Amino acid sequence: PASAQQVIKIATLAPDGSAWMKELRTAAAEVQAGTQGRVQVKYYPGGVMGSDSVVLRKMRLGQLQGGVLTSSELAAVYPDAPIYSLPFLFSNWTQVEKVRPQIDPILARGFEAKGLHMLGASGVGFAYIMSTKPLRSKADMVGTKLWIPQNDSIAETTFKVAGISPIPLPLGDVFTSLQTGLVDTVANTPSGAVALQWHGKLRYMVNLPLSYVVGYTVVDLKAWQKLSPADQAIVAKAFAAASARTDAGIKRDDASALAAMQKQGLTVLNMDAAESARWREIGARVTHQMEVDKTISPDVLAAVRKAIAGAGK
Amino acid sequence: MIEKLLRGLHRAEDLLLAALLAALLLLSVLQIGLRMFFDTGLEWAETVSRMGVLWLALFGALGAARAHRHIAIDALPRLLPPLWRRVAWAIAQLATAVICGLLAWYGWGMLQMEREAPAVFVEGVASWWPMLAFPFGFGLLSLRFAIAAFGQPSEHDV
Amino acid sequence: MLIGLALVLLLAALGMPLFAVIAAIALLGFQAAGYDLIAVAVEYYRLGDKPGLIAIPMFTLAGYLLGESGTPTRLVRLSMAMLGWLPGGLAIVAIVACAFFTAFTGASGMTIVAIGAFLYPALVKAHYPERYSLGLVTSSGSLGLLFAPSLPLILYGFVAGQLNTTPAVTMRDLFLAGLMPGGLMILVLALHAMWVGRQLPKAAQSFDLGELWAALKDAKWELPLPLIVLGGIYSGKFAASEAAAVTTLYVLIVTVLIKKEIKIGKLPDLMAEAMRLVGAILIILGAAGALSNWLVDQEVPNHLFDFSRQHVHSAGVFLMLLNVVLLMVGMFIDIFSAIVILTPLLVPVAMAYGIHPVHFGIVMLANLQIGYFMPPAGMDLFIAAYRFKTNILTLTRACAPFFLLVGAALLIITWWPWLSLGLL
Ligand code: NA
Ligand code: NA
Repeated sequence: PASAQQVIKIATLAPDGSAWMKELRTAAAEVQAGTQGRVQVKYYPGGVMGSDSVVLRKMRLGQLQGGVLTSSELAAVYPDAPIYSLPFLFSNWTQVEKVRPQIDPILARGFEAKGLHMLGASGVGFAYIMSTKPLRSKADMVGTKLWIPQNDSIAETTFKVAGISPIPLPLGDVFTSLQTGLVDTVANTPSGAVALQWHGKLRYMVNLPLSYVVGYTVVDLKAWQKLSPADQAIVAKAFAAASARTDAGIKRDDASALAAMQKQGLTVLNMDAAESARWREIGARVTHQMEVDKTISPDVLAAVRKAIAGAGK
Repeated sequence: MIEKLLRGLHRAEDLLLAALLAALLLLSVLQIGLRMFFDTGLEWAETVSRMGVLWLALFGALGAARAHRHIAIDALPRLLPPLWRRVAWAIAQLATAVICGLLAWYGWGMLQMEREAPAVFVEGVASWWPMLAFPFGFGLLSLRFAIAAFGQPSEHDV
Repeated sequence: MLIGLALVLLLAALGMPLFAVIAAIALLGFQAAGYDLIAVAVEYYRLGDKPGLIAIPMFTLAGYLLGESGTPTRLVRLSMAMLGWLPGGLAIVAIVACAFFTAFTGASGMTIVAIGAFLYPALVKAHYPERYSLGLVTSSGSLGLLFAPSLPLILYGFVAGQLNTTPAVTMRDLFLAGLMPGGLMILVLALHAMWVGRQLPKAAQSFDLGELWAALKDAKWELPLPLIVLGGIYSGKFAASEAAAVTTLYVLIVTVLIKKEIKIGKLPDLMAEAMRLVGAILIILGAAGALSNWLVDQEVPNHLFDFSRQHVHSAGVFLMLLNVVLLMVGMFIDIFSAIVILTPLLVPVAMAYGIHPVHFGIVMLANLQIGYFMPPAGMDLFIAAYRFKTNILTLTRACAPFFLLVGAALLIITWWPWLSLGLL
């Protein structure tokens, strides 16, 4: 049925020239070559198509076929999407690398049921609290003007439980807000902070990995089904490979971004013991509450926990 | 009678516009005060004030339509003899009414779409509520331009 | 699509409001691309998703309040006391006062009506040539556009800021960038005024320290205004939107409560009047957002860039062409529509030629500023013709020297980026 050329238009907030975009462009070239031009993938990077929620609306209107979207925004469509980002779910990279191959396929099936085909999931790394001022104790933390992404209910609940009233803003506003002091604290990955040019303002990083951040590349299921099975296989392979390359690179990128920030004067500091214990306790409480409220499905969470237990410490 | 009703309506419209602006100013100042003196803030303030500006824009545009203050290139109509100028005016106003009607219609469609997958605007308010500005605002604009088509061409120069 | 487009352009010529023209083109474009037209509403709706947009209604209200108060009179008195003793003093006063006033009221033509109207008779009475006086008040109507917090400057910062360029365009940078280029235009016109005024019988008045002190005291509530606008943003204490709220609150308190020049009962009318202008501008901004999105979707900026790279090989030639195109655009289209439509199209192209987006913005605004009084269709010509009861031909002759002078300043601003970027 797929005789005419199919164009898949994918929008993302990731800036053009970022590592992520480079891998995605490679995938597009592979698709173009592999399908002999039957399928063409076009990108709209840097947020030119709007925030993630606007992109989701446009996918439903047929202007876009796909997006590389944050898990918190995708939660509106598929509540389990942000499961990897539960606070303190993973303690280290080893756990992530052992758990993801088992859970990614479960999530892909979940997306499918909600009308989205998951082309890939790419880790962005561990988010840390970074600030313009040193944060060691509870007293330091409570006074912060902390940014959280809009519609990120997990982050909102976590920080509220911790006694902070966070400031939800679209990603694109954080740069200006840091400059004007509207916001003085953020939670992000080191490579994210550098890519978004926030590192000039941030002076301190709390050495406590809050959560593992992940983004999904999804396309509208109807658009996906217009491709012939052979073309689907080619597209799937190219994007799976791109995700794998991004995943492999991110650990290294994060380390080098952190090193670069430290060179520019970023201080990595440890919270006092009581405060970091308090944060872990808050994380457990938030996760438990979401489980009780069935905000995320207990089955998937059980599968994740089983996989983590199997991965060892 | 109708004249009086209309005057009252316009007065109410102006007051609404002024009140919306005053509320936005108050909210901004309050937010700055909270931040500077108490190191805190209202988390909903930014979202609400942005949407407030959108509402302000639409109601301001409604007022501008009443006062014939919309920006247009009217060099050509100025050169026309009175009768033809009147005709050009009516056509342009009616066409604008049609465009506004379309925007109201698609705005309503957007609202329906949002209701199928609602998000949260601010706590307790679904994201489709502020979208009412579109069917409502552009609907009224459409009506106003349609009425203007049967009136005299604008003589404004500023 | 083409027939539809021709129809829309015909309607535009018949006087259909620009927001409807732009929205109609966007609707046609989305229709031709085969998308659900709800996408146009979704784009329009992003108007409510833009940070800092609130600065526009706030600063507009501040401008209306200042225009209705005794500020123009006090401003002229102060400029008079400071500069009136120079040769060409009164003309320089007119230039400075117009620039300050336009910065606060935006390019709405209010300057010509509020300040030009009472300076023009004064100039003629002081024996300035009638043609010079007429040209001065007409062309000064858009002077000051490059100074914060003028609406076009904010609007550019706003639209370019959304493009996420590297280097970024921030209000703070833009406010600083406008100072020297705007100052250059004033300087050029002031020198010309001194030349014209050199053989006048005597300066309008001699320097009087007592009068200067009295004028300063008289204007003591206006004097902190530039400090609030620029100081707040520059010190990092406020975002532009917050500086707007603080400025407006300050102006409200001064004009209504302290000076009592605006009666509280009159306030709602004035606010509604200001918001009608804001509505007329923002509804264009929303429509232009939808149109821009269609252009991005169809990859028009990329095609434009490929096209210009084939035919234009240097930043210099690009800037030269830009000057020509923008002067034409500025003459026929209002500045707000021009900014919101052209910025997303041209900034990426300019950046590919290595032009700093802040410098580009200043060049663009300076061009559009001249378009305001450019014959035969500049808007300020019509306003002046109406206000001073004269015709376009007389005004064209009167404005010609000013056009050449400000044009020369424009060339310097274009070719010497340091003027825009030196303070950043
Ligand atoms: Na003006
Ligand atoms: Na113009």
